[in-house]
Amino acid sequence: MTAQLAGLLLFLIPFAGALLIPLVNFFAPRAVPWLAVLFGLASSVIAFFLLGGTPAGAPITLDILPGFFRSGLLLDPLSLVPALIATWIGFLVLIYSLGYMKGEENLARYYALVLLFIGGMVGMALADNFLALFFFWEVMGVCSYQLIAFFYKDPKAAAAGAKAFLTTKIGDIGLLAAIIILAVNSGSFSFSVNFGAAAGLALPVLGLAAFGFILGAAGKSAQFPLHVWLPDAMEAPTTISALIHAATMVNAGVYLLARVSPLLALVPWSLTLVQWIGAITALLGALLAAFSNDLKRILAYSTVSQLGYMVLAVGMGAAFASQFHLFSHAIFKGLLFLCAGAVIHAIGTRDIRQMGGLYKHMPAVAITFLIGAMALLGLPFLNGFFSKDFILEEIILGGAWGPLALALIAGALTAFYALRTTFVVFWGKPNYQTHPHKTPANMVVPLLALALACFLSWLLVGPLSEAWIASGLPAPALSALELIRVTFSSLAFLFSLAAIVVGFFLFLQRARLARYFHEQEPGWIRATSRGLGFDDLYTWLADRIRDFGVWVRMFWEERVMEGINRFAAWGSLGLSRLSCRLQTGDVHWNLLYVTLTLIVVLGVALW
Amino acid sequence: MNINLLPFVFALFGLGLFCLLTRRSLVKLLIGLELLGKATTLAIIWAGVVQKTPATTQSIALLVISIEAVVVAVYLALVYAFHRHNQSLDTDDMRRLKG
Amino acid sequence: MVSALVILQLLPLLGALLVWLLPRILANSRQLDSPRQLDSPRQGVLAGWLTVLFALAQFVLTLSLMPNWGVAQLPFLGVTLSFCFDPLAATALLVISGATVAASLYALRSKDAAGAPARGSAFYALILLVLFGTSGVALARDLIQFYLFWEAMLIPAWFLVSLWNEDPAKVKATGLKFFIITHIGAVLMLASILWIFSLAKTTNMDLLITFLPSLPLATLVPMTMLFLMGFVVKLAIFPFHTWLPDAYTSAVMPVTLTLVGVLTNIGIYGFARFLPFFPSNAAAALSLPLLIAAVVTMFYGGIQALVEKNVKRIVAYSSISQMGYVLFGFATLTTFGLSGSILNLYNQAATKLALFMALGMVAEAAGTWQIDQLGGWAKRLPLAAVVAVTAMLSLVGAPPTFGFWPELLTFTGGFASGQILLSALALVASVLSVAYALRLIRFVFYDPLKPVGNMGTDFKSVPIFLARTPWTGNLALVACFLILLFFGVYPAPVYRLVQGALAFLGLGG
Repeated sequence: MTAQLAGLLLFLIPFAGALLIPLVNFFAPRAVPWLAVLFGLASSVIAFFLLGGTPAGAPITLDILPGFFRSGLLLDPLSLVPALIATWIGFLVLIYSLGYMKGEENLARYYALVLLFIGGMVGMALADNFLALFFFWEVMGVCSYQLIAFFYKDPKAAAAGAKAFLTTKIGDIGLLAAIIILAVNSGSFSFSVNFGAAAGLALPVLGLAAFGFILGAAGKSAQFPLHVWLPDAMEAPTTISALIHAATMVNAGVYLLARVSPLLALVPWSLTLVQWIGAITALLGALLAAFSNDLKRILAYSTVSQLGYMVLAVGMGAAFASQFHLFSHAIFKGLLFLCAGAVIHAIGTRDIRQMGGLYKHMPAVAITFLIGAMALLGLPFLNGFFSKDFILEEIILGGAWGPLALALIAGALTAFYALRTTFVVFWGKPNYQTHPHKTPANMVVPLLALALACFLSWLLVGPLSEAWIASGLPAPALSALELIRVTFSSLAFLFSLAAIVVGFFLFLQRARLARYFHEQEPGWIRATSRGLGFDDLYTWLADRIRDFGVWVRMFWEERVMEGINRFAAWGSLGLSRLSCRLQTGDVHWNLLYVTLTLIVVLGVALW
Repeated sequence: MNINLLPFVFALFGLGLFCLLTRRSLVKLLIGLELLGKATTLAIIWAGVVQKTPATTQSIALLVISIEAVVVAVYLALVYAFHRHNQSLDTDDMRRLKG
Repeated sequence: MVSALVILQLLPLLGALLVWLLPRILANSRQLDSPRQLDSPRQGVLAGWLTVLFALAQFVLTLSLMPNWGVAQLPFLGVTLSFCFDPLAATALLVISGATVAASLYALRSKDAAGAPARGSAFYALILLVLFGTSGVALARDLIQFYLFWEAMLIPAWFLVSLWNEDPAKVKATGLKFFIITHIGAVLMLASILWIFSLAKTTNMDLLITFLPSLPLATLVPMTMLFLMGFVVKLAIFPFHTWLPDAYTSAVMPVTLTLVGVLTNIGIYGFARFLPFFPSNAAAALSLPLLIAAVVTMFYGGIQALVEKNVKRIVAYSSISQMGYVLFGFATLTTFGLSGSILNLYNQAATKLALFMALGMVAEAAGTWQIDQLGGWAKRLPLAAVVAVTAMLSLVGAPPTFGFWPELLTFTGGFASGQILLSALALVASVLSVAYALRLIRFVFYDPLKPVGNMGTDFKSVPIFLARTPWTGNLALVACFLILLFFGVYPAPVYRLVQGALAFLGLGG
């Protein structure tokens, strides 16, 4: 099998599954989950063909719009990382769903959408042109919307789905505009053609395109100020939160920015903008996570914050560092979400104040969650530690001190909320009423696999960087040993260690902090618990638009436009009434009109 | 011949109009109509005299007179029908055309 | 060729006569219902199936004729009728006959609101007459012939709108409004045709194409504007949109489907046919005003749809907003924009038919069109929900549905024409589309199930294939759904046809 064929099958198999499942559901609904797992397995086996050593093979292309748009596959390390993450984590999530989603209604819809999503993510990553990227990008958005609103009977879920779709759509129009601007200039959607032609563009136009890309990435990756949809998206089943809103789709924005980084480099202000967006998002996410009590929301805000780091790395021109962290993050955050899913499955609430002491009931989940949390805060020798330090190093090298400061504060807060969450959920005083359910084995297996990956995945840095260099992408030549040496000898290590220590100190003082916040209730705390007012602001804006709409509907349409109609009707009726009065029916009046007409006609004729 | 008949034609025509506009009886209206017709016939004949083509105009005048006779016949038939229907010859009673 | 085109043209007329007469011949006089009824429902089934048959026959005939493009002249009663069968005409014919099939399939089994008159053979004959008129419009190669068929399609449409009405109180007003406003457009078009005739002494389009460029710009611009007004009104571009929501809302569902699938699309066809017909300098002078009107329409329709409470009106206003995109594509005067808008012929028909049929099924079952009385219907009518969501995605131009491609081409046209600001505004308007579409889906299909009428909420979920909606309607629904998905993934077949159409219009890309 050639790599091209494997790449094609990698997203065609899930799509085929998504098509087949509704049909299978007609006569064998019980087989649906297993069928989905089978399709996931097939594509994750095929993924091994992409790892290296496979001949590339003849390019596979398809004429979508003949003469205008031909789509093909691009298999380079940058595109393979998101694709492989989507395939493998998708497979694990499918296995996990067997237990987690058991007994829910509409399982066919669920599995079809998950497979469609996996295919979409792989397609997005492997596209060799902007248009196919956008196409699959939107397919993911549609799946995300549908899966967030999966429990559609719950108004909160229905609203959250709509909010996610609408918010990301704002980013998407930026992306579409950027793509079209480039395509109009170069006559093609392909990456390589456009990067070549971009240098010939005027700076304002290029700036517009760069801004569009940044906006698109911000929408998808939940970056400030479009981050508001991700916390609400936690209404989705937890499996979906793990797959889409932690491990895969939210990385698409980072992937996009890394992909267009040659373009961003041409626009001086755009990289600075990306840096600041990333840094602000990292801090904002960490702050909101620290003050949240909903287990899934904590993880969602944490995702927002970690994505901020990745975007910051892209802004430093370090695409490799961002992808490396993306890889680590997908693993440990997927793990954390799946653990959270197990917990929620067991006691049926998402509020961490009603949890505690769960270590006794589910030790495996507790230990794996702890491993994930340690990777998140960056404990040495876990994958998150290396990748986050790598990013900090790049920031120091680039001399962006402002974003660095924000990133470090965010690091301290990350340590704090990671420790707090783990402790409160698994070791604190038990606060739940119900008896926790047992965790089924098919839910534990993916957890163990991912926990193991947290220890080992950073070892892949060597092959990864080789592959990057081999395909001509900018990356430092690093082996795993080299990475250890560089990491421990850098300034960034000290900084991040300090951040962890500060976070630990905050964690130890949490009782005092809690009392202080409880008694004093400073304004910013209240604001933080409400998402720092972004939601309020957007709701206010939406309400104003709606008010305007009501005015347009009720006044403009009903009074003015219909008024014009009514006036026309009334006017013609009035004229008709007026002319009716000439029709007296009296012979003499008629004769008079005849005479008058005669006089006028004669007068005109003689004159 | 230096006589100009035109003033007489106009006078006759005006008289007919005046009759049509002021009288209420249908029969009187017929007389007014006839006056108009006669004025027109006279005008046609006078035009022949002026243009020195009396033969043509005389034939036209004859045609007009015969048409007038038909008109009068139809008119009288209508008036008769109206009278049978309404027992009246007053135009005030014919307002069926009122809008 | 001539005979084939004549058959293509006359097929619906023949069908209309047959549909009108056959049930009457077959039924003996005792079976006829009381004369007070407008139309007898007993004859409806036979008439409906005949309608489906004839529309389908036209569809298939168009498909089989497809590669044989050409013009045919036919002397008839002292005048020469000229027909033209090119990819654009084929496109229009496929769409309108397909839409008629869908509308009559839906009509066969659906039940109208209590006040609406029954549907029998007269109803279906009128539907076929609309198809006859629109086929004439699509095939005409002569301006007068075009105008005659244009009127011939308006009159049966007026009968349909004003007689088969859900709201007896508004029958007269709605029908008259529809007729007067669209007629104003038609009359302006006639004025332009007569003006052209007075200068060129011919109305044959093939001759005019060489003649028109010789006219001065000062004549051409108002002439073009007058002509295009007919289509602007038909597309319901702001401020000529007021007929549309009323006509769509108060007519019974099958009539709305005909309006949506046949009449609106023939407006799009008209633009596609006549915008390139007039010399490019005249069109260029009109480009900016049309673009602005298009953007205003997008926002205006969108914002109305955002706050409206009647589901049918929401879709009606969304249709207005969508026609803004169609006009936008045309007004860019680029091949991208034009191909986007011609592609929209297919897309708008499939999308809007699917959306209206799905919502119509919900409203028929619920007995209300009010959005705040609906909710949770995904549970009760899963098929309608799936199709409605797909159609909604197509409406907002989200992949993997058909709507994405026309929208992409339209915006590409916008940016290619250099109108960056207006194109960006059009993109922003698409966020508004997403907002109203999501609201519609959410409050009709999602949220907890609300009790409606005598139906409780203790409802057992049924598998999708047991959907309790009439099977003919489901068939039409599924057909639209498959079209939306298939061309959403692989638009190449229709795109090729559109490129062929552009080549025939002299704009080969």
